[in-house]
Amino acid sequence: MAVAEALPLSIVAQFRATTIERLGRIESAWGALTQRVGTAEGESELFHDVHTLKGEARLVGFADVVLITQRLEDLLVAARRRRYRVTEDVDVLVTMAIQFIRMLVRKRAGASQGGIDINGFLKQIDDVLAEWPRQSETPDASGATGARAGEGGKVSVAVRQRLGGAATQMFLELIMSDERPRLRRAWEILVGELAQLDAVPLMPLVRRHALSAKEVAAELGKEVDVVIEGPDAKVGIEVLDTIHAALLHTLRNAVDHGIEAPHVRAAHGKPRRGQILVNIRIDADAIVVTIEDDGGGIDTEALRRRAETLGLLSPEDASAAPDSTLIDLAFAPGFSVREAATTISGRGIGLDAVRAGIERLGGTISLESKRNVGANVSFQLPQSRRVIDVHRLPSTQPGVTFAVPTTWMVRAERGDDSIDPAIALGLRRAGASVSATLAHIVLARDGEEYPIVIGGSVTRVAAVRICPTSPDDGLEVVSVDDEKMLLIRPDAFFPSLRRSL
Amino acid sequence: MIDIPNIDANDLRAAPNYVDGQLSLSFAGSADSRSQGAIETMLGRVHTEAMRLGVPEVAVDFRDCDFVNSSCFKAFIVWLEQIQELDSEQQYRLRFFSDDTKAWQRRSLQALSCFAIELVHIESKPSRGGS
Repeated sequence: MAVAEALPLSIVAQFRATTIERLGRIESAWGALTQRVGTAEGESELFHDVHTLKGEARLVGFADVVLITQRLEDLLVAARRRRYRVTEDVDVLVTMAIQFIRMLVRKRAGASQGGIDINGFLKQIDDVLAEWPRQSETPDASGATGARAGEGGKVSVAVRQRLGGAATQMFLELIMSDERPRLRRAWEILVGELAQLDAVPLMPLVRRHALSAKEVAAELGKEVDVVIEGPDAKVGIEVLDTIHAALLHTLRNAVDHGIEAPHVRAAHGKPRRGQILVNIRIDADAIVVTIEDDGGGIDTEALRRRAETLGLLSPEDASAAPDSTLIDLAFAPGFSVREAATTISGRGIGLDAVRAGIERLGGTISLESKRNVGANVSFQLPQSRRVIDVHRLPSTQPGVTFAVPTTWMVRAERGDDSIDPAIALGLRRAGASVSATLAHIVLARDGEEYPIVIGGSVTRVAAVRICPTSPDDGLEVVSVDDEKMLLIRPDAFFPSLRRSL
Repeated sequence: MIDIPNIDANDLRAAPNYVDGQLSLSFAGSADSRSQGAIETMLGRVHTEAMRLGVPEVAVDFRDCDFVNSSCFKAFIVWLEQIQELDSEQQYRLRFFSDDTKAWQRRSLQALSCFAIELVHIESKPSRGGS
C-alpha cells in the first residue's frame, strides 16, 4: 500500500477526496474531447488536473498512483497529437486507467482486492503507446509535460527514430560483415549516443530526496546524515519517475522505520546520529542505486507472524521460513503496511508498487536487513532504454535471431507461401549452414496474417529497445541480456505478404 | 430460477443463463452508449443473483461480441469493484471467454484482469461464429 505513513491521516484523506473529484473532471473532459464537444479550456484543465494529480500523489507517497498517472498522461499526450481521434479500444484503456487510479486511491490497507496487477496494467498501456506512430513531439502548451519536453526535447523523436533506423541498418551490415571490429565499435558508439539523447542528470533528484529525508527526520525528532556517493550520472527520462518513486519510498522508510530515535541508538551503543548512504553506480548497461541505513533493520519475527495472520504462509511454513523469504514478503501486494507498521519497525510501504515500476522497465530490486544493524535496498535499471515484450523467433540463419512484439499472435501453420526473413534481409550467406529445425508460423493481428518460416521454437521474453525506430519502420534492434535481436514489425516489413482474413 | 432481464436492443443482445449451478452471461453484437443503462442494470442484477445463489464463479462470454465501448466497459469495472468490496469468503470469480482474434477483447480484458488478477480469469476460445 502506497500510503505515506509519516503523513497525518487528514492529509491522506484530503488527497483521496480531492483526487476522486479530480478524476471525475478528468473523465468528463476526456469524454468531451473524444466526442468532439470539448473546448480548449477543457483540454487545458484536463492536462492540468492529470499533472497536478501526479504531483500530489508523489507528495503523499502513492507511488502506484504516480506510475499509472504518468502513463495516463502519456496516453493523453499521444491522443492530443491525433486531435483525440482515437480508436475505441484506446478510449476503453484511458477510461480503465482513470478507474484504476480511482481504485488505488480508494484502496485501504489490508483489504482483500483480489490481487491488483499494476505491472500488468502498465504493460497494457505501454503496448498501446508502442503501437502508436509518434509523428512529432509538439511543444506542450498546457505545460503538462513541460518538464519532459525540456529535459528530453533537444532532439525530436522523429530525428531519434531516424538515428535508430540508421543504427539498425548498421547492425545488419555488422551481421553480414562477420563482426568487423571497427564496424562493431561504430555501432556501439551510435547506440550509446542514442541512449544519451534521452538522458537527464540524476543527481539533482537524489539531492532533493536527501534533503527531504533530513527534513522528515527532524520532524520525527531523529538525527540523520544522508551521504551521497557516485558519479554525476545521467539516466533516461523514461526511468526518472520510477527512480523518483523508489527513492521517495526507500529514503522515507529508512528515516521513519529504520533509523531509531537518538536515545534508542545510544542504548544500542550506536552514535546518536544515524546515517543513510545513497550510492549510485553506473555499469555498462544499467544504473544501480543502493540505499543503506544503520538503523534497526527489519523485525523478521514480526513479519513471520504477519505472514501467518494474513494467510500468506501456513504456520509450518512461517515457522520454517528463512529471513530472506520473510523479507521478500515486504514486496508482496496486499502485505498491509499500515497494520504491519503498528507492530513492526518494518518497511514495505508501497514497495510492491516500486518493484512493479522497476520490473516494468526491466530492472530488479532487492532488500536485505540485519536486525539492529541496518537495512539495504538496492535497485538496478537499464539505462535510457525501453522494454517491450516480444516473441523470440530463432532464424534459419544461425547466429541471427528475430523478434516480434507480443501484440502479434503466433501460431504454427503448414504453408508453402511462407517467407524467410533471413533471406528477405539478405542475411543468408553463401555456403552457410541453415538451421535444421524449420518451423512455419503465422503472425496474426487485427485481421491480418503474415506467414513466415523460422529456425526453431518461439519463446516469449522481455526485450530492451536499444535504438527505437518509428512504428512505420519494419525493423529495429532489441536486446535480451547480451543477445541482440532484429525486431520485425510484420505490417511494415512484409506488406506484400499480408493475408487479410 | 434467476431474476435477470435479457437485453435485446440497439445492436446488443445479452442473455443470462443458470444451468447446473453455473451462472453465465452471453453477449452478442455491439454495446455502445445506448446500451450503457441496460448493461448496468443487468450486471447489478447478476451481482445480486450471484450472491444469492452463492456461486463461486460467473462466466461471461464475449466471443460473439463485436465491441463494447468505454462507457459500457466501465459497467464491468464497477461490477468487479462490487465484488472486490465483498468479504473474501463472499467474493466470486469472473471467467471471461474471449476471441483473441479480436484485438479489443484481448487488450480490454487483459487490462480488466489487472484490477483483480485473482478474481478475473480470461479464457481464449474461437468465436462460435454467430453474432
